Amino acid sequence: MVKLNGVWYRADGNTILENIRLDIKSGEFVSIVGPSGAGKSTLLRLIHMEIFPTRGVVEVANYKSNTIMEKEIPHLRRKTGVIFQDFKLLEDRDVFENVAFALWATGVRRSRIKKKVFKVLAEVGISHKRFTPVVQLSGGEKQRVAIARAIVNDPYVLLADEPTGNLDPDATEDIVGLIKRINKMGVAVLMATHKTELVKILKEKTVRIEQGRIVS
Amino acid sequence: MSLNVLYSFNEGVKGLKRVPMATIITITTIAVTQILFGLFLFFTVNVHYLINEMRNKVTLEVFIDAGLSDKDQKLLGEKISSFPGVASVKYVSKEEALKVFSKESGIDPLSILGENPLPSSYHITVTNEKRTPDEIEKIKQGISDINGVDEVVYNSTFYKLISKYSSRVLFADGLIFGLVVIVTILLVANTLRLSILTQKKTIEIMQLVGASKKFIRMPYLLQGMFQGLIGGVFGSVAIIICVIIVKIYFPRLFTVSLPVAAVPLLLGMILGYIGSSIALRRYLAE
Ligand SMILES: Nc1ncnc2c1ncn2[C@@H]1O[C@H](COP(=O)(O)OP(=O)(O)O)[C@@H](O)[C@H]1O
Ligand SMILES: [Mg+2]
Repeated sequence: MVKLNGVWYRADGNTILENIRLDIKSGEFVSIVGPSGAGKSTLLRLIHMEIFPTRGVVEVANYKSNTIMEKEIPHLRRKTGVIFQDFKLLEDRDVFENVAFALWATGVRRSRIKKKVFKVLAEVGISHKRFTPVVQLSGGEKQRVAIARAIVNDPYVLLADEPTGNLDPDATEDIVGLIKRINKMGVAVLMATHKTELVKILKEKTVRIEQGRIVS
Repeated sequence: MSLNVLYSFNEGVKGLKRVPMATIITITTIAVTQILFGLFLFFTVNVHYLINEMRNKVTLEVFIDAGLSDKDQKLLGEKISSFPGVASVKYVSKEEALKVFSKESGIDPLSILGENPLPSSYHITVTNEKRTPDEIEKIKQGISDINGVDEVVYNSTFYKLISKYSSRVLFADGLIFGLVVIVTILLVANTLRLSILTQKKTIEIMQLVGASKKFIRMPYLLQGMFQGLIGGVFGSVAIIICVIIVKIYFPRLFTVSLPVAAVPLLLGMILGYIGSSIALRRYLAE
């Protein structure tokens, strides 16, 4: 479902990723672990098609990085949810609006938006704060909102880039539990982190990457 | 996929409110140039209307040699009417000329001189394409050379003046039009640059969640068109005011300007659109 077939990525004369082979089946949970600067974020951005491989092909469902048309990219994005350590929420809006935004921006009708948003907010356990401005939320709560936004369009895969990077241990546990639950609901997950302990607790398939190369 | 126009419009207005100073400066400057443009447009359209009126009235008087017989005069008339560029020929006899002269001057030459000193003449008008100072001068020379023609007269200085004047007005029009184009495009692009900068994060998030390019760009295109349109309204209002003033104070002059009032409005909108397209291409990397 997500497949990298010997992918290289170079920028400014540096090789950032080297011959990456990766195959994520639908519903699978894969952790990518490695030190800071190893190339984890770059790998996720390739899958999200913000950047394109120098060599090799990235495949997501039916989209291929070498043949995708510019106007298809928004459609791919709707099917690949992303979360980050800095949440990337609209700080001047409330919880509901932040999630509704993802539907709104993709042309979903108003009448359907409310229903879908309420449902997904319940799934991530933040319904009680649906009209709270996101600036008033804790880090863990913000990440719940971000997760809700990432899955509201029913993606094939959730790409999580250091999702617990800004969270305390309790919130980390919460969010990792939530991501696992979402995975159980059938969404494939690709989680990048430099925290080795986290991966040990998870007991999921793990790919280790160092200096742009998969080492195990 | 249905695009929510109301949403885009709403976001567009919000976007302008986020950069109020730039918006005010942009709209004001566009308005000033558009008013200038509107006034000149009004002026030009009317000057051209007037010039055309005058051109249509330019007549050459061909005075006939005194000794020519009636039959030769008739022959001469035929020659003149077949001369290239001549549109119409009208015979004015000695007697008619005398009547007109007496009426216009209040003098009766007959009682003073005892005879009619005025020659008979042909009054000719020229075809449209020959109504330039050079062409008229050529026709004048050509007809002067015909046997039986004494002299050809027309008001050449007046004629050269209005022709020169009209080309200067056109030149000024071009300059002001250029000013409107440059000012509108540059300022709209600048406001949009600032507006886009304040919205960098929102735009990034839109791209993240898969908003279509159209959805992301539409509010900004509307912002640009809105600014150009408001500026243009001022130019249009300037023209309408001119039309009203002229209608009141010079009712017999200039009657053709009202549809022209739509020009600044449309121009503003089109230029606003161009300005925002340029800004989007430069500041909203795809
Ligand atoms: N656009 C870019 N141009 C040049 N170098 C980059 C670019 N993006 C990332 N890098 C470099 O690529 C390497 C991997 O970065 P990144 O993928 O962010 O690592 P990680 O997420 O594992 O910490 C780093 O050395 C970083 O400096
Ligand atoms: Mg990273």
